[in-house]
Amino acid sequence: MGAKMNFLSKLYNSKNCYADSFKHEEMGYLHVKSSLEELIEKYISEGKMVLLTGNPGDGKTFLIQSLSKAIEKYDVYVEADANCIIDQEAFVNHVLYLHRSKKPCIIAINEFPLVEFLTSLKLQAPDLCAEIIRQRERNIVYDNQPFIPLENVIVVDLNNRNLLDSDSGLPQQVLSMIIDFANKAIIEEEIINEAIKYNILVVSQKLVQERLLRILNMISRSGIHFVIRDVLGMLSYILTSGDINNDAGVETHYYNLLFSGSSKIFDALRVFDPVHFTHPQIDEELWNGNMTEGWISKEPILIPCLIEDENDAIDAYKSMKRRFFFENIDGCKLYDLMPKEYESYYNVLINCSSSNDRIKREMILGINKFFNSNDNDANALKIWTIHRYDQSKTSKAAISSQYIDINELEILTPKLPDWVKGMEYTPDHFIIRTKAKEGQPVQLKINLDFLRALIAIKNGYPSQLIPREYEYRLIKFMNALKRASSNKVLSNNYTLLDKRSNEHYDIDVIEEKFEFSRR
Amino acid sequence: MPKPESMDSLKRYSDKVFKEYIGYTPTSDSIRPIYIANGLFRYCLEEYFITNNLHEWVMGGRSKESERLNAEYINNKYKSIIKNADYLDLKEIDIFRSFLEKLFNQDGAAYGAFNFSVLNISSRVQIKDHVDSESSINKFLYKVLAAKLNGKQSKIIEIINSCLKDEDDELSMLIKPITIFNNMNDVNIKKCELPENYLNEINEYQLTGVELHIRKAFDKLAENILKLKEDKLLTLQRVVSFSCFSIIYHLISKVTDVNNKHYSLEDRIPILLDSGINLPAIKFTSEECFLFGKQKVEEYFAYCLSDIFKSYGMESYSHNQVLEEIERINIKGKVGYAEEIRKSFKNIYESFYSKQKNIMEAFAQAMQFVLFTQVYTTDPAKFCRVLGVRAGIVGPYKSWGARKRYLPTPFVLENILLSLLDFGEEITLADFEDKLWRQFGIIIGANSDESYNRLARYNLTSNVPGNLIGEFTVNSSAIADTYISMGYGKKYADGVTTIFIKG
Repeated sequence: MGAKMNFLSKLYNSKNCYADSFKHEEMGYLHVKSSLEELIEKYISEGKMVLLTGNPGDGKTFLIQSLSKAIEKYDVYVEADANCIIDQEAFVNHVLYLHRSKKPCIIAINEFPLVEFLTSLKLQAPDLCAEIIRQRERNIVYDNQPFIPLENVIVVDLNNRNLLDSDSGLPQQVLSMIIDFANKAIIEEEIINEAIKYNILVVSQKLVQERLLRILNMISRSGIHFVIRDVLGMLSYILTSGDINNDAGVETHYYNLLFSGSSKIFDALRVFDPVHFTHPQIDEELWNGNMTEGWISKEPILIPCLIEDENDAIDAYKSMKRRFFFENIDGCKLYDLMPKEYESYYNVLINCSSSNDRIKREMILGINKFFNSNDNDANALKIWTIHRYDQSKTSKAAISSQYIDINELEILTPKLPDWVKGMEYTPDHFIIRTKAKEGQPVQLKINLDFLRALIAIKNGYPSQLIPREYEYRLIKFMNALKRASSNKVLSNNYTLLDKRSNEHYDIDVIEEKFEFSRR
Repeated sequence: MPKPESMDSLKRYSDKVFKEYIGYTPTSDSIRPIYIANGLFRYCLEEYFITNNLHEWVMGGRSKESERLNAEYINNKYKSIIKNADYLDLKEIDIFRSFLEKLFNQDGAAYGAFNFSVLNISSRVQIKDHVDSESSINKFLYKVLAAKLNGKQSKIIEIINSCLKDEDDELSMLIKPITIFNNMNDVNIKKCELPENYLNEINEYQLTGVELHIRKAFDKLAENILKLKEDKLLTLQRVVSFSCFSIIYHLISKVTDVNNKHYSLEDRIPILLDSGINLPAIKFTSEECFLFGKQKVEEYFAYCLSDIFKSYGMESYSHNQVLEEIERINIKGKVGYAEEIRKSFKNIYESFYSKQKNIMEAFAQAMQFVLFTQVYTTDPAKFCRVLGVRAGIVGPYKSWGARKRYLPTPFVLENILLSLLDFGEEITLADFEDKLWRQFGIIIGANSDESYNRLARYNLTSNVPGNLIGEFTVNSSAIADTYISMGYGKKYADGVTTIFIKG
């Protein structure tokens, strides 16, 4: 088997999937043009120090390799892997020397080694250290406050990069690159596994790619961070099953491999396995072998209903359904059955500004109902106080006399700071926060799962059943709201809540007297 | 000095241990965090409030005089603070009182009888005078906090005062009409005079060993509280929660300070924290650790007794003299029959003596055993369980009969973290466990081999069902996840987990 195919198959599951172990020629195979390249080239042309940080597999080495011409042109110092520095002190001194000499440099360093580096740097260059920390803390922003990077340093955090962000065109680029590479391997190499050949030829089809990209687009909105290694590994696996010499008995078809791999990206893909979605007419035709029209490749031969062994019949049917989704013109009918959660959530995120009030009301209602299931007020966020010292009991009661008006709250989605604008990014949460009049605003971060929980509570789900983590976050949010004085409305009306029976009682305290006017 | 005549009963010896060695009286199964709060807050503020009126409103309906202290009584007595009292439907008062009870008796420490009752405390107006259930824990804690370290008292005292003097919380504002009722010239506020000899003790107090660890932890907690700028009620809860933890830590660990024969300065009594995700080996070992901790309480108590005997020159007692002493001593057991207890005392002493041939140690151990099993309803070892459960340190919480282990709530974990790290500090999980071990003897399993060795030293790793070493990593990861979900940590993709405190 040729070198190209060997290389391709080993991209799956950490075999050769760290760029550090690729040869230069092999790196060339995998070059995917990203908008980040232009951005970084601009910075190094300005003589800046660029800190490329993120996690293993985020693509730091790939980026550096793709900038090789610019690096040469601007005589850039490159430390492609600052994670393995043994003499931290010498490294810090060298970095300081480069910084003071205003020599452009690119330093690739994973997140945790960066923390350690900063601990050493702080002693010698506190300002530079503070600026790096400042940029790291603003690696996503919610507002339009201008921020100018100082100290001639730029921090690019690849943790925020979403390689599956369809708006950037990157998934299509990666897929095309792999397919082109694979097709070249077929042309150039004499011996090729027939199963792999089939996979490559079919996945080269426009319709199949369209369907695959559609699913990748859906998982890109899940908020899960996928690194370049995950994406390349997935594509390698579905084309080669990771083992180009595999013999009979091992699954080889891309449409089954897509939903059977073992990594984070495959776990996310399994949610969209066509097998889960029932379309009675399509299912029946596939089962009975009557689905004969619309195939872009050969019609299936097996007829599941005629297979004697029940398990084999079911497996054959599942296989056929997956193949139907990718290789039949009518496969798109299964789209409507697929989960829309990520899509809906994404729409909430990108349409926050236009649907702001509606989302705010939903959030206010959900939070209010968490504390008091009988509260139907969606225009004022109640601030509840729960106070006890005995930790073995759940709280019996709560009290509220303060609230924040809906107009004092805002919903914001995160975005990239100006200095890395253009990097592929998809927001994975939004925040509800107080409009800051003085001091820091108080905010509550809401991701998809938390949003689900709040909507469930809004719709009547018992608050005692939501995960403890969200309860803790809501109580912390309440505590922070109590501290922040500027947005609150204080009233003389006190609502006392019995948390067990959900009954409440209102009383006014006016001029140091009780006024029993309400029930 | 020769043994005074007054030392003629088991109770006297016991009192001496509590007063001069332990510093408080951990023998009540009524102990609750709120009692510790009441006592400590009163000492920090040096004042308390006359809370009779509030008690009447909140718990009057539960008292022996409930018929008298009915809604009509309340309406008449407190007419001046009730608008339109003459036209009020008295049912409103009943309903309001029932909700007040839920709010001000969250901890179940409020009773019909005023003298035993402590209401929920959100500011100084709910702090009352001494109740027995405080068990003098406040005296011990205040001493540790007020003693000069680097020339200063702990900032926690200032923080407590600042929180309590702020009466702008909703609980205090709700009951303001009651607290100012008939309050001419602030008659409801009383000064809490700390005895002069106690203050002298504090001035001369040198913090060492376990007390020094507790003090340093409180100081770190204070620093972080100031930086985090949290709500005052949360701050008060933190202080009380950590106070409870400190007491349990003190009781189980104090033996390492005093028994130089068996423990060095670096030794710790292991506290294996269970993350609560059903790991059988961790569960079992944590239970064993808790049991071991209680045994250390007994060991410390026995040590204190033997120290008392030495101070009275009883070291020179012969075996027969000890038997005579046992014969002479006044005994009052929890269930009558002093003579049966005496007989049992003799037998136990003989048994210990036959094993170790050290008269004083055998006498001390026997006395400790008799006190714990026959005299105290709740001995200091059981006290750890009672307080531990109510403070969310020991669990499971609801099954009183089950074997207990160290099963901290997220709030307790958070307070331990805040008492350990500097604000802005970020360290790996492994380094965090090292700090936990050095400061408190806490193990979470981040360093599997070291965790195992630390437990094995005390034979806590034998007969453990399942794979303890394998479960260490899972346990520490789950505890890290708890910290991460609270915003105090991060898991990096290269396998490193860090714990930090940031704003």
